[in-house]
Amino acid sequence: MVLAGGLEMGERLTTLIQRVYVLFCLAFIFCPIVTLIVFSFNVDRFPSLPWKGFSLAWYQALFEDPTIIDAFQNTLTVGICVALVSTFLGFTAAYFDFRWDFAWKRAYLAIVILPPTIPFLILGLALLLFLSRIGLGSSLTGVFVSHVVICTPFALAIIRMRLAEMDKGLEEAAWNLGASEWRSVLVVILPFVLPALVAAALITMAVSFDEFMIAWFVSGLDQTLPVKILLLLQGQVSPRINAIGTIVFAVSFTLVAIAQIILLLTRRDNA
Amino acid sequence: MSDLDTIQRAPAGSPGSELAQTGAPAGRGNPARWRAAIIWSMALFIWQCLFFLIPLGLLVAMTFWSVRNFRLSPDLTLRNWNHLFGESYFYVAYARTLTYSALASAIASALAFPCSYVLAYKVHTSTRRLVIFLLITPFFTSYLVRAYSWQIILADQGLINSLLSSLGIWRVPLLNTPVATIIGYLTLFFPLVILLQLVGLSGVDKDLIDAAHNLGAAPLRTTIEVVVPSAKVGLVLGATFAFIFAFGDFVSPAQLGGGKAPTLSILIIDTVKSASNWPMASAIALVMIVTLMVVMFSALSVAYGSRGRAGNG
Amino acid sequence: MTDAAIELSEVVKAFGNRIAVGGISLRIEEGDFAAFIGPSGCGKTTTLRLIAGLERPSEGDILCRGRRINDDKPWQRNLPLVWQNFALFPFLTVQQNVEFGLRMKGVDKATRLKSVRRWLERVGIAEFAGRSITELSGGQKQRVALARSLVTEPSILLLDEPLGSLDAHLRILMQSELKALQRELGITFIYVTHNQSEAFAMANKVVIMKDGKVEQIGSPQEVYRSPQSRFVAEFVGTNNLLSGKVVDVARDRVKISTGVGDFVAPIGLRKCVLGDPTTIVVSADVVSLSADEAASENCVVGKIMGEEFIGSVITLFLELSDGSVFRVQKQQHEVARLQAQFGSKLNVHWGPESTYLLPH
Repeated sequence: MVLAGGLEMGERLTTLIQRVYVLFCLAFIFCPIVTLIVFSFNVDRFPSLPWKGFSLAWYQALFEDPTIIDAFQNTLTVGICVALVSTFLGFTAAYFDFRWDFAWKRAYLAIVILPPTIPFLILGLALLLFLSRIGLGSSLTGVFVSHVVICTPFALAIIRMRLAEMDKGLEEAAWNLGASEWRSVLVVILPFVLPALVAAALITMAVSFDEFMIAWFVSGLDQTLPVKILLLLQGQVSPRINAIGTIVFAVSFTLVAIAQIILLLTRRDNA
Repeated sequence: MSDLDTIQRAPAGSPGSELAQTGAPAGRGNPARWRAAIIWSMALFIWQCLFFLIPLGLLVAMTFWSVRNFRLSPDLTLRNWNHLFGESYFYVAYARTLTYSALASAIASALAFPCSYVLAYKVHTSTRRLVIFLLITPFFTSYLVRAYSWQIILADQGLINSLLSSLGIWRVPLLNTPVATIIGYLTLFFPLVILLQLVGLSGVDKDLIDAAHNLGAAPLRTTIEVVVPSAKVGLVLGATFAFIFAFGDFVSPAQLGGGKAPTLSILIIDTVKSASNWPMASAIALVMIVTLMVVMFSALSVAYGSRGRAGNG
Repeated sequence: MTDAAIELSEVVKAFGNRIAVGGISLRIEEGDFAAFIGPSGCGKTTTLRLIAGLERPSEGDILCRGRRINDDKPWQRNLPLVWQNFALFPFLTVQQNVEFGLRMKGVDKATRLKSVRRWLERVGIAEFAGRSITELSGGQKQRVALARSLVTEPSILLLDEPLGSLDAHLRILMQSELKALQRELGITFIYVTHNQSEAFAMANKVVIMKDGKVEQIGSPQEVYRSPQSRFVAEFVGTNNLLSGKVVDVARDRVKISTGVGDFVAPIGLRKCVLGDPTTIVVSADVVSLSADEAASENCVVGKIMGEEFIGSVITLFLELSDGSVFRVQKQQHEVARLQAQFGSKLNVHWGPESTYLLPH
């Protein structure tokens, strides 16, 4: 039996089931997020059905808690510094990979992008052991330094992908016309990778913003927000956590969404 | 003086002259090139050496240090290792961690496959892009917060159970079980596994699928015989990253699994929190690193192993 | 009338708004070597894929030996296809690739092995049986693709530009091998190519397509010497087209007046009416050249403005009195004898029987 579009009934059903499955997968992934947001507005202390009423009390409690505000400020500060430094370092390495081809480049790249593949639990431990010996043990600076280690590979990847879209001949043309190497980087490369630099900054900030494990080891008394959340989790269940969680999610989501949009809009599709 | 004036001259040692000869920046000979390359590459390299390699090196060294009267002192003793390998709780935790991680990896790969297959072959480009956007974004949001959210969904008075009881069905204990731990792991890396599989599947030559159909293979047979072997790299990478992330995760077994069935990660945190026994914690961490390296190495050989293995089969 | 091996009846294939195949009907008989040629985008590959079942027709019927196969899935038809880029499975050895079709049919291992061995020998690559695909050259891969398609003993073989990835020398070699293979096996070949000489060398039936429609079907001779439309006349071979009007009709001859002179053509079976617009087709290789006036009914004078070497054959481009270009193909030594140079004038003449009238 053939329906419109030339598809048989059986094929149509299969396609429907397949699409529903994808929706289920997405539902599973977003379910905790939606629950979090919805119940941050719930009057009831413990989230359960039926819904008891709408309230902003939990958000209010957050703004009145100085430790939360401090933690948020710490996270923001660290995040911005990490974004700037990671993007810079990522750019240098990405440009190096783009321009030169040495025999040891493979080994170099392996070392440089390895950190995110090591469990952060182990990295956190190692960094605490090391940083405390050089005086950065329980400090935000220590967190900053550690986060740069794990965030730079992301920046490198994003910027490198953007560089791959660039015609190598552009740089050579600039040299040919008399621009020095440094000048041509400023005038030819940087403008081209600018969207990727912005995206990398946003993504690295998001990664640093949410990172809790290494921060727990290294931050000491000046806690970052994720560490505060981790500690709160070990206490009572409270919609306050929902409220913080919603705010944290909103920040990360915004950062990553903007980054993705920038990359999508400025992508040169060669296909 | 305009830039045009310099075209003729292109002094020796500048990129312009080299280019005229080689056509592309070469990586040998000219010391000026080496200098520039070193400047660009070393910034990050120094940072990673200082704050990645050295700390890990210290961790390895620390496994041989000793703790006397709560004071850490450099040493060269095997006492920590002997102690660790002598305790049954270590082996139990190790086996448990391996099992959970392998299970999580297998479940994630199996559940992700139909999804990534559909995304690779059965939807429009615009839909695919949208779904990829939706998969990437939560991945970069706080895993901790999402895991907490599952806590309240799965709790005995949580969402699922209140729904069940209002429907008249009895409550199901979900929190503090291995099931909850696995759900937590999925929350961590399910989107990543889908994406890695998707990349692998997208790279399969469409002609191969047509050829299989043409030679008599129905869709299911084609998927098993042609698509999966062709997408091997993406599938294996997805499973491997799932394993690695599960292996090192602390939050899911602790918060969702109840922490009563310790994994190696919980062991490390406990050792650090209660006894501050850094050498022991380091030893456990080193065991984890070595295990993961072995797993990664095997996975990469499977993924990138020689194709069309010659034989008489 | 016996059933054709493959018959297409008013087949249409549209991709959204784009009509790839706009209603074609044709018959390919058992034992035919049918070649589909045409400019890129003409729909020849789509037609092949429709026959193989890899695309579904929007309208019309596809019949195989009289049976409608529109609803047969690709894996239910035994119409193996040989791909241009071979489509060999890189994760299987040569042997495993070749036996694939048999395995899908459920043939047991021993029988499979025998068949595979036989066909590998037949195409001349028996010693590569256990090798990985990636180790093979283009020509060897092509043979594997061929063996893989033939191992299921089909009666119809589909080929989509199979020699397109090979270098010129190998291509010529494979052409004669394919032709010999087809004759020996006695099966039907349906062959798509953009290479005219390849089609004419191998096929007994040529199908010329343009914009999703069939322009002409016939033997290579027919298509070459008797094009039925302007497009075919321009597409096949090297022809000169002159537009004009009928000015005189005699018993067996007709005179056409064009912008560069009057020409006489045999009337044949056509009905010619005074004043009808007509196009004359003169093939570039049937004309004669001379430096001075020659006695012949059909003659033009042209100024040499270009030439092109194709091996031992030279194509001369002559500019006629009305500015149009007339092409002449001659052996190199004949042209050399004339000792003509750029800009010099030549007389081109041909007999009336070499003048062909395009039907309307």
